[in-house]
Amino acid sequence: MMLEMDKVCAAYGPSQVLHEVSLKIHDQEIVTIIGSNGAGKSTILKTICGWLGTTSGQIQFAGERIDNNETKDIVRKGISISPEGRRVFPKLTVLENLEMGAYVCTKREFEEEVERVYQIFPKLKERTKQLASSLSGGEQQMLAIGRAVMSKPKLLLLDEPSLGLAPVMIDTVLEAIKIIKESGVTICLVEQNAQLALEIADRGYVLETGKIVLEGMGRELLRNEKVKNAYLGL
Amino acid sequence: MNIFLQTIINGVIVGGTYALMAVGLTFVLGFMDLVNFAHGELYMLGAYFTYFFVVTIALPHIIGIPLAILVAMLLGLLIERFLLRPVWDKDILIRMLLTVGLMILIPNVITVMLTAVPKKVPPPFTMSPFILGNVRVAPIQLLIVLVSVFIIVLFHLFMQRTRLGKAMRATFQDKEVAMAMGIDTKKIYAYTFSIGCGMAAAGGAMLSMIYNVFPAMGAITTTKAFAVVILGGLGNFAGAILGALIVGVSESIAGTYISSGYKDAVAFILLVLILMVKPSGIMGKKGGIEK
Repeated sequence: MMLEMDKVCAAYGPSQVLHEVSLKIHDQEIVTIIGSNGAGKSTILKTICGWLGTTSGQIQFAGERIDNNETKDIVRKGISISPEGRRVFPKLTVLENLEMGAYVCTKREFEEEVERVYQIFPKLKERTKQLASSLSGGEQQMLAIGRAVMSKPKLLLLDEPSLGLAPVMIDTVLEAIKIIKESGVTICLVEQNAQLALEIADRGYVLETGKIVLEGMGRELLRNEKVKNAYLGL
Repeated sequence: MNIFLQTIINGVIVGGTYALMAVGLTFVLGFMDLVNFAHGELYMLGAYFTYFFVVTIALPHIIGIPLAILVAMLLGLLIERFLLRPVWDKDILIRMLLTVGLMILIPNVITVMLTAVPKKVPPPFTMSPFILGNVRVAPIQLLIVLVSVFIIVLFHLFMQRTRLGKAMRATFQDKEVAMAMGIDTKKIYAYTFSIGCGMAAAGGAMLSMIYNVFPAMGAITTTKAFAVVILGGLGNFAGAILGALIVGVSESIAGTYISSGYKDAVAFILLVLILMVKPSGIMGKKGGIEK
């Protein structure tokens, strides 16, 4: 078991956002969490990476409790995030962004990883000395994902990687996600684009107003009537 | 013409030390959103620490001045840890008032401990001025401006080239994401403040060799450094340096051609004029502070 959330509750100030969320992510899986805007998908990732404390429940990573640990320590355990809205460091260059991604690594590891990221995203290599703010949305998304894999995570959290991207860019990003998965990284993918997410996911969870209402294999969920009506627009 | 040239040279030399003060201030302001009214107090302490190391215990300047800067940086770490860290998440006004408190507290503590009688730090050497044509430059002044430039360049290289410098920039561009990279942002805050303090102290340490050292020297320096920083554009390093040179040269011109009594007013008159034309400062960007 890579990650297990057990009845996790979380709140922003007085308003509770997650209600006893339980989910499991096995080694080498792509697990997706789908749901509408404001359902709490991103909040789940925030509690995993330590940006948001939990109010109750447990999160275990590789058998070790990590809920309410400091973010900087959680990265060192092997969890890394490509956040919603990309959030690359705008005034650092592409290479410097990747260097920050490898902050917990040695220099040699950084040099190896940067080559690997440039193989996955050749476009980034062309832009290596440019400021991240000068990249297009798609390139910034590549950079955010590239930066997140620099630390050689065991578990990669991807928050809305397709948001606001042109279809051709989405394909590139999806290809990259598959390559990253094949290299042995477990992925937790949060998406509003349910169709796309369920197609590449092994398993999926459906989140509604902070509660898990459905879970199943990716293909099953794609055929599920409720999912079709609510999220696939069919 | 010779007087004019001399005036400009003097202005550039003064401007060089202003630049050091302003870069330290704009660094802390731009990166940490900390309006540090105690910046000049660290400048003052830098001068007093220099007095202590160089005069009281008679270390050579080359050891005493770096030690003075180091002690100021350590003091900066303590101030950050015990006073600022509890209020980083609070309103910017609370932090600002805290530095105002330090601005009042520190010089008064020094006055109580050492009295307000001005002290002097002798320069490390006495040399007759360099004479180029009809322009005279005192070697100590030249040394001070060169050291200022050296520190600014060193600081720039540190921020651009080192892992820690990049982590600082990353932290202040997006703190949450920086944490997710594994950066210990609490430490980054402490180091950043400490470096700002070190730059202020470096200015004080060097000027202690040509000016009197007294408890109230920090306040005017703070206000002038703010004038320079706002003039150049908040958080903009190049702007801070340009602003410092403009203020230094204008003061020098006013001192020569109007009256040295009005010298200190020049920075503020310039500030008002520039802000009327370009409210974001000479090199500042619209809509706020650059990181």
